[in-house]
Amino acid sequence: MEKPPFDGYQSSRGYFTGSNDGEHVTIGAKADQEPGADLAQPFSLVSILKGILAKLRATLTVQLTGRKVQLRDVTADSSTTVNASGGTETITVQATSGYVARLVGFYALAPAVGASGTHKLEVQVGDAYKQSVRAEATFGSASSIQRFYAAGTITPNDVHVIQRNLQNIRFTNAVPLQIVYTNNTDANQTGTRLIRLLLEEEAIVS
Amino acid sequence: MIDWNALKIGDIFPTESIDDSGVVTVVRNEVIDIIEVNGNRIIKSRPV
Repeated sequence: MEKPPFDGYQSSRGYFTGSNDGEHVTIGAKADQEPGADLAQPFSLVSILKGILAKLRATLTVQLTGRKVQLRDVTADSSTTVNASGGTETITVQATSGYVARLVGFYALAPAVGASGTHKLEVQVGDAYKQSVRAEATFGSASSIQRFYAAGTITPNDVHVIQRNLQNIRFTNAVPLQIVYTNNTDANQTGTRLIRLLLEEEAIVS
Repeated sequence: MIDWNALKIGDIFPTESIDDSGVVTVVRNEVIDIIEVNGNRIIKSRPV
């Protein structure tokens, strides 16, 4: 019978063939030998098995990875006076550090104000360039953005698109969610703006 | 980029406002209140 070509490690009692897992185990066992061992020299099968056994008996490092999910009920109402003729207030909501948040529930309402003009609520992420939703109402009506309803002139002009935009919002601690209220009526807004959020926050842990 | 965690009441920070035609206006905002709700930080601000 023709002798197979050598493609592995030679022990004192024969050959270790195998270029896959077996080879890796062998290399690992060699690496666990006494410091200063000549890894270029063949090891006996018993020596290699002792190396593996020592490795298994030692403290093995185990690392768990996964994800954490939490629901956050956030009330961010505001009753600070927002002046007539262009006054604004921005409410910035940061996600918990290390988490990415998305909106599960959303409700924002500014009560009717003034005798002329309009007022509006806008939802954006990070800054005004990433605006998702806007609801602008005339003075006699409330401006509101809700999960399944929006009052006033809404942008996008389709409540289903607004729902989708709200659902697609993602924000973090460093790139937060913002609700901007602008009062372009002729009277100061002194009514409480109701802002209620239900957030799902998710983190990858390692 | 704004360091939202570093802001405290009374701080002034700039933002950009953009209208529907693309005109950008730099706005100086003042932090008027900061609250924490279950670990979520909420910052209220308005232009100065």
